[in-house]
Amino acid sequence: MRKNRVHSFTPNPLLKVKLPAGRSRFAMFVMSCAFLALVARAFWLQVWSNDFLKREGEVRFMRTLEMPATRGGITDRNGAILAKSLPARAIFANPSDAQLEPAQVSELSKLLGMPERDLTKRLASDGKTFVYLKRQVDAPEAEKIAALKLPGIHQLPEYKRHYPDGSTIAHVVGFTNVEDAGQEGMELVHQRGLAGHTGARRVMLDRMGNIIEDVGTLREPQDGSDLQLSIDTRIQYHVFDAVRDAVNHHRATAGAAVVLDAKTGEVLALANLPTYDPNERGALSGAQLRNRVMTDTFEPGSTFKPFAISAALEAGIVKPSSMVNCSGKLTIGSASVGDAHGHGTLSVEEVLQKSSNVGTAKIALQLPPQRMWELYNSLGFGQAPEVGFPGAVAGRVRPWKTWKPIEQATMSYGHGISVSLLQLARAYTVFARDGEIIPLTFLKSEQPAVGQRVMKAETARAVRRMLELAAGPGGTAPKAQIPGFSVAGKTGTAHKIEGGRYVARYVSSFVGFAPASNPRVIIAVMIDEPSAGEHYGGTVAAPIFARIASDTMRTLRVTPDIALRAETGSGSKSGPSSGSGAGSLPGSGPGSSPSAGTALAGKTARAPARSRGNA
Amino acid sequence: MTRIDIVITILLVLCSLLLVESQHKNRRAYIELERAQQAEAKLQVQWNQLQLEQSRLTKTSLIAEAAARDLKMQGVVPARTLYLSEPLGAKP
Repeated sequence: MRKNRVHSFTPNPLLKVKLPAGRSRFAMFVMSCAFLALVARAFWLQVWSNDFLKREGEVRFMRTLEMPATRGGITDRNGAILAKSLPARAIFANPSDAQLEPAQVSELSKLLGMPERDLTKRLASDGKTFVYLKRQVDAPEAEKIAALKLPGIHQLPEYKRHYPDGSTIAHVVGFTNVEDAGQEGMELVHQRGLAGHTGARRVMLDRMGNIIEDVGTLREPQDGSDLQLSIDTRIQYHVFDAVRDAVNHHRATAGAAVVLDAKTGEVLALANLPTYDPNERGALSGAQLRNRVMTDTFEPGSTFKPFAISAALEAGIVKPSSMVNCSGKLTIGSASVGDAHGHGTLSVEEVLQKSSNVGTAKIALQLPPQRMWELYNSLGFGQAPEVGFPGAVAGRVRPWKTWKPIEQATMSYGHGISVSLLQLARAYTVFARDGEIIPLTFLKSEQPAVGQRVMKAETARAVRRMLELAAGPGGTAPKAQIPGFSVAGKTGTAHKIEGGRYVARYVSSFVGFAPASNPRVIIAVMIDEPSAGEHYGGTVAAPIFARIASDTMRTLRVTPDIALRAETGSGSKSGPSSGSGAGSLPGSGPGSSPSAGTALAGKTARAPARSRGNA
Repeated sequence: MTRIDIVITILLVLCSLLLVESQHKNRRAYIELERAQQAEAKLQVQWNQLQLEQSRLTKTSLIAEAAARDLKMQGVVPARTLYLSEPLGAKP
């Protein structure tokens, strides 16, 4: 029964044919080999050599994204923004794709703010695949352009630097180029710290383009650090305004002023005219870019006299009360030194007060040249100030061994020597700080500066007293006076040199400090080539000093140190009191006064250091 | 197949589904995070713009001009200032 059932499954007689066993084994072998080949191939692709496929896979869903970093901002000492970067767009075109209708070109040119003709020309750049149409386009305009969806017009992200204070502080802050790299001023000096470094990360995208996973950060983005300057924009405004008004009034070619904090060595304000707007960098000229306070040197003239006199006092050669015969002319070799008005015999104090060239030269000639040179050197003349500013110049002080007597004499009253306004202002810290000179800084500093002693405190105080007299009613600069505060300072009027000869063009200057009793700020002013009739430091520069000092004292809330005069207010036992009718400050206007300044005097000497000038 | 095998198989399938679900949720959450971060960056830009605008509008020159022109104000000078002396023994 069971046997019959088996037979029923093989009804076909062909199946009964016995095949050779080798054939089925062969087929089995071939199929096994094929499977093995597949397994080996799979192993090869997925385990052994999978880099290519992995890479191809990643290309389809992995992306490397840039992580933006912004350039650090610059603020003033109170946190007011002086420079900040905001995202902007660079608009570029692929000319071969950008086939625009005339109406589209017209609309685009309006949004870009460029003439249609220029735009058409750029779009017709044959053979190019990339042409910048405009860079640093503000985000709102860029969005409007993007909304037009023009073919072949694309955008790239970038940053644009904004300077809200514009031309007022341009020479300190400087500016960046379109690549966001510092080109001038603090932007250039602190490029490394201000510059941000973009980062990068790998992310996984879904088919909609959303980021679904952060695979890893390749590079951390680093924003640039913010920079806080020592500048006080409130004082800067007053200084800039005063210099601009004076340059206009005196029809001068240029003007500059700097305000230093006598306690910390911080530069509170620095203004230059002519200036420029760092937001509009299209057409800048060299004259506009020059930071005259630091990069221009000039013969300081009488503002230099206090140094020679202090050296003589320090050496014990003279005392403030010593008498010097200042009458006539002082003849040294073939050259002579003179004053515009004969002074007769003056005390050393009066020599500085009246600004006598003869007196100063006679005092200086009693000093060994080396001693004078050492003082000039210790005050920083002839060396570039270490303020980390591009282009800060050293000025010129020749080695003492080459000095001839006439040169020593002329140098004592500021001729045959060249200095920058910043050097001069810094050197006056010795008188403001009882004989110490301090380093200057453009960065905010809360700490009092550590000074270096250059002369004895009593010497510095004696010269300070003389400078107070010089800025007083009997001195060369009564217009430097301000109500409520004692001031001290010295005027300077120097001929300019052209082609090795002195010409009838002048640099009027004033360097002083206030309050004289406890100096808080040092102010140096320089007006280049005033040509409206007046050129003496006492009539041109001193009123600017007075205006700046008055505004600075108010801004810094310094308490007045002297009682007000009767006509400016009613006095009280407790000091200055309320009054009225004192709207204008004495000396705040650039008027003329015959008492101010001694005239230029002396013949031009044939010696290399010609003796001229005084005020 | 024993009963324990069936239970383990069901658990395995369940865990796999939960894994897929949590992965999905994770991705959704990450998309949200990305959007929030983009919004934060936009707000940061706006904040910077506003700070800049504030600086522009509070320039000393603008304030001085407006004070003198519109409000007819004058600068403070010591002559018009009443300085009060601190009484003796007063503590700051």
